[in-house]
Amino acid sequence: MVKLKYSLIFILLGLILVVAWSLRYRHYDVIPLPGESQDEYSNSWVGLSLIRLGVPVSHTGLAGYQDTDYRYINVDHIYQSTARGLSLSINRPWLDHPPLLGLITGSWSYLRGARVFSDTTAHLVRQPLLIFSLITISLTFWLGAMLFGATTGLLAALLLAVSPIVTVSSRMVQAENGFIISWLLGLIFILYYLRSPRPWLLYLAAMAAAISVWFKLPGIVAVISITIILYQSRHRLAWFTWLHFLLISTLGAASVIFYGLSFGSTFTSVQLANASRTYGLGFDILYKLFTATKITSDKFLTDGLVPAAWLAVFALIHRLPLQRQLQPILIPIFSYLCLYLYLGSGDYGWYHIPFFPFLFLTLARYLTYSWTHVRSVFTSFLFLLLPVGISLGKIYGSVSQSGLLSLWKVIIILLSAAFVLCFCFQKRPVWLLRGILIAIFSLATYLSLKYNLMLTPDYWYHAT
Amino acid sequence: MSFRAQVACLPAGRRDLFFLIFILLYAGIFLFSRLNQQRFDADLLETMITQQGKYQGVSADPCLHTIAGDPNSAGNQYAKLRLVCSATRDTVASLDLRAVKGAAWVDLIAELAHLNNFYQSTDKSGLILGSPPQIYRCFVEETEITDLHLPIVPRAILNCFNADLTSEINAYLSSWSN
Repeated sequence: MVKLKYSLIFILLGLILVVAWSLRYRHYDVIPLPGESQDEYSNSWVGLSLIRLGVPVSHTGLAGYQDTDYRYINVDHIYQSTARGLSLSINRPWLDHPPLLGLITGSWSYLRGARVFSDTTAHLVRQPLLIFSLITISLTFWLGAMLFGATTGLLAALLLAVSPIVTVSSRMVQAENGFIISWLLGLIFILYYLRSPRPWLLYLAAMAAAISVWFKLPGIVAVISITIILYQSRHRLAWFTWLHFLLISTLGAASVIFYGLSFGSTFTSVQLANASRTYGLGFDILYKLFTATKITSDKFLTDGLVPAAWLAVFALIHRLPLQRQLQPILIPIFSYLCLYLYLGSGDYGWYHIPFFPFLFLTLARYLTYSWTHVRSVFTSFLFLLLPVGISLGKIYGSVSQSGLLSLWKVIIILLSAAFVLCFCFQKRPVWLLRGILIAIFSLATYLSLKYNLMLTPDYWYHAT
Repeated sequence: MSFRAQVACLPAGRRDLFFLIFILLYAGIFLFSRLNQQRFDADLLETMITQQGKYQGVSADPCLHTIAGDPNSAGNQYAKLRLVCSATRDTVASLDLRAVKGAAWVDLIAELAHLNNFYQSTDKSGLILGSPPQIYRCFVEETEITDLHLPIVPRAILNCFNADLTSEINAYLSSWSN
């Protein structure tokens, strides 16, 4: 029986990964348009130049470099489309960020025959990110299954797989897509450690957290969040365990500094310039964070699953019986939120990427919580009405144009039924409320899938 | 031995080992990176930046592509280049002079040829572009630039016409005489 249960879980996870792969692979090299984020080339050129020249050379927008060399590199014909005629400022050594993601995409490109910068097309450099995305989904499932059981893990994996904003942003060569993997791994190791304190698990977690920083300096959030989780568990462990983790992971992460210093004083001046970047988020950033997401500098993609997940976070934050169980999810969310708001260099969508696995885990947990505590079905319904409504609007246009007024009215009747059943009856019809929950979740998932399929290059070109 | 015991009772030698591991890690990364930098080759870097990618096809037609947008970040350090390939086809590009390697008009044309991947050369007969090769005549305002090795004038527009387009050239010149 247990074997059958595990087989079923792995079959379902496999199916989710197949769906995720299909959605991500579809138009992966043209959505987002090549060059909409030049960071994608920038990262890959760092890797390719480190492999071929031993020195990172790439395009940067940061001050702090001397002897900037302006060049035109027409990879993917960006000068016929997205580069807006601007030359690229090329610097050597390029030290905007640590080089790990660049080394991965650069090595992949090199192995696929790329030798010069113009060879590193979006078609090539985004391929490893497709694999990264599947790894992130699998790790999210693993984390969810460890914390809340396989059903929550599967639901979170499904939400990540079909969320349009995750589908698009997870293809991009952005360091956030890298460090989320090592961060999730670190959390998984530390949760195993909390179950059974074996030193090697702590070392693995520390190593994973340190590796996050090799993707990008904000990867330090892995060190911070895991340290907080350990500190909270200090009564169950040796008191210095959190300190021990902090020491090992910080010392490991500090190795990035020695990589930078090996290039001389440029490292210091670039990091100082990086530290004094414009605060581009604006005072309304929380509103923007919860409602809309910029994928690139001028392309937005509104996905109702994200605000629904934020609402689930706020709904669960004060549910005391769940608080302890949710800490390994809420601590990463709020650690990264603080870091994101503090650094605040811009409201680009890729800065939101590290939120997604944790947000969808919280939403999935809220849904499974509603399954057992049917009084919460009404709020779950309200949350899921966000993706349903937004996807309906995106796919079919306005209510009057779409001819779907009857469907919308049926949904509202179901919502009202859920409200009445949840609040007006002492003995609630559990099967009916669960049926309503399944119906609205299925509709939200189906519409998210359909929204994904609507994302064609033509749609994207005109998207704002 | 429990983990607690391992760390709390770590003998001085083991503690030294712990820090030695990190010192070796730092030294290893630093030295490897320094040694790796010795491989740097400026010519190879130039090739990596300038060589066309293997996925970029060579264009026979110099007017096939247009450079979209203007290099606003260049301030006054830009020049425009307009190619008129036939009576119905032309292309305009604004190029950042900081990214043009060379100070002559021919370097501006070479940069556009590099960007749009078409053949260009100069010989006694003048500027030759595209495939099959066609001779072009270039003008800045009403003045014909017969020597393309003259320095670029920032903010100027270099108009290059397929030499066969006599009527278009005459129409262009007459627009200046008016």
